[in-house]
Amino acid sequence: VLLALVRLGADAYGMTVRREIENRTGRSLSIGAIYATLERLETKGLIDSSVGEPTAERGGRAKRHFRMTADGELALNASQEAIRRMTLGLRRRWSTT
Amino acid sequence: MSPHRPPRVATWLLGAALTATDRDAVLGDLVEEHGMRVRHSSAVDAGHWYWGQVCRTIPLVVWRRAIRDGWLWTLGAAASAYVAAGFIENVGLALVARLSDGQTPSQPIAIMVGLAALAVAGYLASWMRRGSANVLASLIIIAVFVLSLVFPGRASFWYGVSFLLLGPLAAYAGGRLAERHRKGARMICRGLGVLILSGLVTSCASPAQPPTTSDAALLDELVTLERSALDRWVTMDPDGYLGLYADEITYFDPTTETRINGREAMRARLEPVRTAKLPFTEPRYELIEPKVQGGSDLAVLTYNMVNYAKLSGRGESILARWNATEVYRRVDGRWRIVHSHWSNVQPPPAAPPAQDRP
Repeated sequence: VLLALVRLGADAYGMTVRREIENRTGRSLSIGAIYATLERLETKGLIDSSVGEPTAERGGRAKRHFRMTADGELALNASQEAIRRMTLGLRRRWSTT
Repeated sequence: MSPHRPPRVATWLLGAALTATDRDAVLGDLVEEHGMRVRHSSAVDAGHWYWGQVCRTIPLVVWRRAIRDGWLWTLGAAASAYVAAGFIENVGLALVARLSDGQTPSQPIAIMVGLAALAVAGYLASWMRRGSANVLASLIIIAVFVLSLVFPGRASFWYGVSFLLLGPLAAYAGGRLAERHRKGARMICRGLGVLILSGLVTSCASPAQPPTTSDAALLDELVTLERSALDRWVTMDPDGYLGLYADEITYFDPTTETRINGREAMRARLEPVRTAKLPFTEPRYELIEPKVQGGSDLAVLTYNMVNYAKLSGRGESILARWNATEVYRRVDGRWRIVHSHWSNVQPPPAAPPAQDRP
């Protein structure tokens, strides 16, 4: 979800996040699962949100935009670094099996 | 369903599950994507996708709210109060029985004690967590309904109806009272806690003394009735038993091939006893280890009995030994035998003339 927020930038809200992850991973996700994760990340202070203007295409309902905080960037860096270290030198092994 | 608008029922269902803060964002996202799907594929596919999203989202939303808003704590408080109500009711019934010299409380009194216990439980629930008295009221309705289905006939119709209608009201009233006197509620609950704890300590510290006062009183009452009938029976007078039998008495003994049904049939069967010529004198009996099991309106009395008498030319002998089961039911406030079963202890005594039952 954090990576989707980075990709989407200012256009990150529930629907676009869900579609971004679904398009890139091929996994079908419910909007409820996306919002549950976004809420957890916001509680941890890794992202924050702001409410936009209502639009007609949304039935007069407002969007809730999300963006990553500085803590979120640090957490994402740490997570990416952890994955990099764990996978270091392993690529050849699982490619040959 | 309009081809360009998402299914209204699905929108309403999800909207009802969401909190006000999430409602616009989540529903707006779904409506927006639904519109895109209508344009790029078809309204039917978009409708199916919309319903799928709603059905997958509602359980997640409900679970998140249950955790975030403490619904589980509310349910826990209500369930604890329900258990406490059972304890308070039993203590109340035991107190009433003690105050009335061991008599089992009548049904109206039992209902009043039960409702008072539920009101106290509502008070406790509301004190533990605001709003849980309402959940307790719902639990009572479910519990009474389920119990009446699982154990039909265990309680009388009016007993069940009283708790189904008045039980939730009592819990709700107790909860409302606690909301008004929240500070006072804390003091009362502390007091109740001390009382319950003392009761538990006392009951654990006391040695087991079966039967209880109430059971002992019931045993005395039924044995007195039984002896009054037996005293007449051993002198060949069946009227003692005939007076005790309920109209619908059923009866077995070793000489009956089929069950005897009804008091009139028993009267016909016992009539010859009055004119029977006795081959013995000075009959007596010994009633051994009577035991009663049962409650306020139905009780089973079991005992062993030995018949003695003096036979001509011999001393006192054992005529017969019996296992007896008498099922009593309270009819119009008086105990009556509704089923009687007598069987001989084997092997029979050596003396030849075994007395007719008993």
